[in-house]
Formats: sequence, structure tokens, C-alpha cells
Amino acid sequence: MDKEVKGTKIIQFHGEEFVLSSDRVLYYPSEHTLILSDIHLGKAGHFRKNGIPVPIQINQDNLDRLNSCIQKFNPKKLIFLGDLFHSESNSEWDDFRDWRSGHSARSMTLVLGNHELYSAQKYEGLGLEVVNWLDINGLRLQHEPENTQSRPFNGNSNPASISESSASASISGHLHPGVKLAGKGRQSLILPCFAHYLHQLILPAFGTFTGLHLITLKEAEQLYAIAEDELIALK
Amino acid sequence: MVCTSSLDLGVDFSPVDTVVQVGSPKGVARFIQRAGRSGHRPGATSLIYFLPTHALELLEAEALRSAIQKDEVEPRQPIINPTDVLIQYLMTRAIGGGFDYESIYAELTQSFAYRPLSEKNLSSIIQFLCTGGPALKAYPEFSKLILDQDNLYRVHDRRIARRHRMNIGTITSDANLQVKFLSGGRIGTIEEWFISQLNEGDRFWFSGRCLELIRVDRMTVYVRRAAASGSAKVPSWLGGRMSLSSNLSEGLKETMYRAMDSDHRSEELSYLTPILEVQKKWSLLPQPNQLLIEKSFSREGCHVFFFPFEGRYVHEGMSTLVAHRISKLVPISFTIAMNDYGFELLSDQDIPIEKALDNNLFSTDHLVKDIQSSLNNSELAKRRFREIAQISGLVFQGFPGESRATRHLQMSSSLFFEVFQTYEPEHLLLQQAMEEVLFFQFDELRLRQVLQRIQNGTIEYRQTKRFTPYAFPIMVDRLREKMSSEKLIDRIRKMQEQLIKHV
Repeated sequence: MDKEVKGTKIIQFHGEEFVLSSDRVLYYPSEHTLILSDIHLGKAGHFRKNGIPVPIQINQDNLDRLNSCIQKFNPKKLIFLGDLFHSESNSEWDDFRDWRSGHSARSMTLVLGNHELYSAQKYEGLGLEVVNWLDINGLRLQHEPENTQSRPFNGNSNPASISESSASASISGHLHPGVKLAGKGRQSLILPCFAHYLHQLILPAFGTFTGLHLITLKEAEQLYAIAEDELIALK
Repeated sequence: MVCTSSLDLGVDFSPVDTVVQVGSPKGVARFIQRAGRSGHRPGATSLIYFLPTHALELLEAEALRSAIQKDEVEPRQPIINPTDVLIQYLMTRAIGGGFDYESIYAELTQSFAYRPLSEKNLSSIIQFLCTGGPALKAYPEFSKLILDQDNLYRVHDRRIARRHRMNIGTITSDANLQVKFLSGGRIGTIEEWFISQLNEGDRFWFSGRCLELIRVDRMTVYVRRAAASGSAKVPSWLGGRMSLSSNLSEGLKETMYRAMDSDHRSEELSYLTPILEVQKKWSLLPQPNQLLIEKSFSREGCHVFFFPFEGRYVHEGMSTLVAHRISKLVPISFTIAMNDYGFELLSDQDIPIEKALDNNLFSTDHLVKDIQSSLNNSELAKRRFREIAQISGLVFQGFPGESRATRHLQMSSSLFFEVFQTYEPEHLLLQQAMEEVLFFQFDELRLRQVLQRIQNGTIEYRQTKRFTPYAFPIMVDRLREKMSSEKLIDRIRKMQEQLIKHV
């Protein structure tokens, strides 16, 4: 992708080029890799098991959106930045298994979330590589962002201290970042966003059946709000 | 004791001698009910004071007094066939030993609210509780109500039963969050909507201390002590946010005309004289056959005020209808506020009110169609759905000692609303929300009468340099409806420009 198309933004992050997409995914062209976070599969099933009726289409809708992203970027590799499964759900696991077998030619990696539900073995059984974190070209891919968003790594939140590795910045999810915009006439809007900090890039949650955590523009280098099928740089 | 409407009903404190009602009680029945919180013993006398928060509430005080003297308490319109309450009742019966179809149907139809309940209707609700899905479609792994061999419906899952017991009731409230020190130690609870307005690092007063918000995590607000600062926010509580029934409007109108007539004024009304004079000087004191419309500009944008004096319920529907009709003329976004006297449309851009008036803004033509589109484009149904979601057990308040696993089942009613709208627009509970809004806020007959009355009278349009005494109380109202006919992307671009202008 050399040209920016509608709904995407090309950014430079620590010397690497990335494509942000309003489909709530990040594409890494030089690595042919699609990165996404927090799908929360199984969440609807978890609600249903507890007697709260949530439509079954939510799960399939998430996978359908994922398919259209794969079609758009044609990645060789997919990386899930944690919270792939929110809860145990047989039917939704089966859906995921079927979906995986439909993309057997692509390699997939799961970076484990803070409370990933299924065992690594179960994912490995479907041909997913499972890791706690991943270092690529000096970038650390992990589920949770560092504590202080504007500062470079101190390595506190990770078993392997980042200072011992060559990584100088991170890409993560977990937060479900959203931003509130306010205008005249007491109008306001809340939108999901990508958060670009000096040393961190935080992805929006891919799953749509989930809330948002509001962040502010102040500390960020840039926030990219997702407005339907468009991306808007807010600074 | 200082309280919100949460202590309106069902809580008895016999030592209370006097009640002070701060601001409008928004209804005669409610005012009497609140008075009854004092002297709550057989034979004792209740005492209540009314403390107006702005001058025009003196009118309300007067209208309240005369309504009480004449024993004119507004009737309570019962809700017919509410699905949410039925769901809760069926679940309660299922947990309490189980129920069978025939006898529960016979029992329900004996009650006033469910007299028109059809067998088909009941079947589809039971079906919904058994399968979770829309008609004839079962959700996988759904479990709630189960039909046993002996033909009784029961709940087998103990966690579902326990959660239901903890959430029985039809008085809904905003979600409460625990407030805790980062270092440990619980301080109290606060309503979610207040916290949601704060950013991390903001300060607020709570329990006599100035606190700094550190973060919100799983229904808990973590704070630390902070130095007192002038910018610290003071929390407020919405309490039950009961729907506002108000038949005060007739009395209010009467009182207002009486206030203009210097011969028939009570002591309270005489205090209003200077204010009414300002209203007259800056704009107009409308007569019974006049609809006053005022337009003014502020830093916030363009404000248009309408004063039909029809009571809050009518104004809710009417303001949405009027906003919808204007938004068909030009792409525009509104926030809408209202009280018993009138309503306000506020927009960041000039509101083409003259053009709208030329286009028969108050016409009764296409009323049904316009009501339907107003309903679809406004958030009234979503707001109504909040209560329905709680009563029917889609969302629930946490309870003491609950595990983290249950907290994973918390989802906002607005997210449910959106999910149902996307995937199951025919959902029983969505239908209920729509029907209730149509019944209460958009009562077609009543709206038609009001519009007719406006058309038969005259419309007085004034541009004012400042907010008039009539306009001011509406302008300061923070609870607002929204409506927009602009594209999302255009709204964002405008907000961005405004942001840049600020800096």
C-alpha cells in the first residue's frame, strides 16, 4: 500500500511504517503483518450462559469483519495482541476453529492477555503460535501498555525487562482507548481511537461488543479517531 | 438528612419533623408524597417547605398550593402490559417453586396491567426466557428458564437465581461505583455518571475530603487525598431519576396569568413583579392564545426558546418533533432542554427558525410520520430503555461481596440497545421502549391538540440580546436530549475547528 486510501493513515513509529485502519486494525507492510487486539470472542456466549440474552450474530460479525480486513491487506501473518477469548464458549470456539481452518495458509500469533482464558496448548492445536510478548525490529508487542504512557520503557510490567532487550517502544492493546470530542452547543461525541504516544502505540479493541476507556489528547503525540469508515487525526 | 429522590418511597424515618423541598418537585403527587416523609406517624402532621432555586419556581409553588387546596392530584397513568416487569415477575415465580403456563396466565390477566395480555404474547415472553433468542430461534448455550417434566417452569442455575433475587424491584437507579483509597480502605459509593465526567487527575469533594481520581477499574474508583483546590468538583446525585409526570401545566398557566394581574397576587407572586417586568421589557409576557419564541446567541451558539406552557411530557415530544422538522430543512445538530414552561433548541450554528415557521413548523400534516422519524432519530427510546434493561435483568447493579466473574457480566444498557437495534430490531424489549415513548412523550392526540391550539393562536417571535427570565432556567438545564441530521464526519470536523479556535 503506497497510497493512503479512505479510512487509513500511514504513520512512522520508531522508524517503521504502519498503516492504521478504521477497521480497528494495524497493518505492518514491510512485515506483511496484520496486528489487532481485544476481539473478546466468547463474550456474548458468556452472557448467554448466565441468562443474559445477547444476539449470536455478534461473534460471526467479528469474524466477518476480520475476513474483510484480511481481504483488504492480504497479510502473510496475523498477530492478536491478547484478549482473543473473553470467556469460555463452546459454540464460539467452534466458530473460531472453523475460521482458522479457512485461513490455514497464514501464520498467526497470539500474544497472551492478562487473563487469557484458554490454555496455550488449545490455541497451538489450531496452529497459532502463543507467546507472552514479541520483539520485532526493536518494537515490543505486548498486551498491556506500560504504566506511564508518555515515558519510554521501564520494564516494570513485564517478566523480561525491556531494558535487557533491544526494544525501545511498544505496540499494545488492552486499554480499549476512546476519545471524547466536544464542540459548541454542548455537543459531544465519544469515538474509539488509536493512541500514538512517543514510545507507545495503543490499538482500539477490535471487538465491538465492549466499552471504551476514555483517554485525553494532552499526553499523546496523536490520536486517530474512528468515525464509521474514516480515520481522523485529532491534533 | 440530605437526600435525592431515592428516599421518596418506601423508606420511613419517623424522627423526621420537617421536609425541605429544594427546587421543583415536578408534580403535585410527588410534592405531597415528599411532605409525608415528615410526621410519618398516625395522627401526626406533615410539614414541608418549598425552597425555589430560581424566581420562576415561585409560580410553581403557587400552582402547587392551589392544586393541593383543590385536591387536584395528577392521575398516574398505568403502564399496560410492560414486558420488563412481566419478565421479572415470571423469573421470581420460577425461582419460588416454579409456575405452570395455564395458572400463571389466569393469574396475570386478573391484574389491571396485564388484563389485555394475549396468550401469544405470554408465550413469546416465556419462549424468550427459555431460549434467549427471537421467535423460533434458540441461542446456543443459553440457560435461564427451564420447563421441567412436571410442566413447571423453573430456574436451575443457582447463580442466575441469586443474581435475580439481588435485583428484584422496579425502582431503577444509576450504577453506583465504590470509592476506595489507592492504599486500601473504602470511603463510600458514588454514581457512575458523575465519575464518567471526570478525567484521571481531576479532583472532587467526597465525604469531607478533597480527592484526586487515580483510575476507575471494575466498578471501583481509586483515589488519593489531594490538597483542597478551587477547581475540585462537587458531586451530585441523580437519584431515582423517576419519569417526570406533570399535570402542573394548567395550574401553572393560570398562575402565570394571575401573576400578571396585580389585583390577584399572593405574597409570593408579588416578588415576581420585577422579573415579569424584565420579561415584558426584553421580550413579551405571552397571553393564553400566544406562543412566544425567543432567539438569542451566546458563546455556546444559537439558542431558540419555545414557551408553550404544556408541561414537561408534552414538551419532550414536541421539542423532538420541532427539532426533527428543522433538521429536515438543513443539516444541523441540536441539544434540547426543557421544563414545564417551555423548551430550548441549542445548536453550534444559526437555527433557521424563520424559515421553519414559513414551512409550517407546527402543522398537523404528516404528524404520524414525523413522530415516527423523530422517535427513530432521537435518544428518547434509548433513555427509556435504561430502565427496561434494569427491570428485565439485562443489566444489574453489583451487590456486596460479588466475585469478579459477575462483574464481567456488566454491560451498559446503551450497548445492549445498540446491539439489539443492529441484530434484532424486533426485540421485545426494544418494542416496549418504543411503545412507551410513543404513549407518554408522543401522545399523538395530545400533540395534535397542542399544535392545533398553536395554529389557531398567534406566534410571537422575538430576538433577544440576553437570556430573558423565562429562558434562563431552561438554558441552565444540563440534562439534554440530542438530535442530529449532520454527517458524523462533518460534526467531527466542526468540533476540531472549534477546538483549534479555542487554543
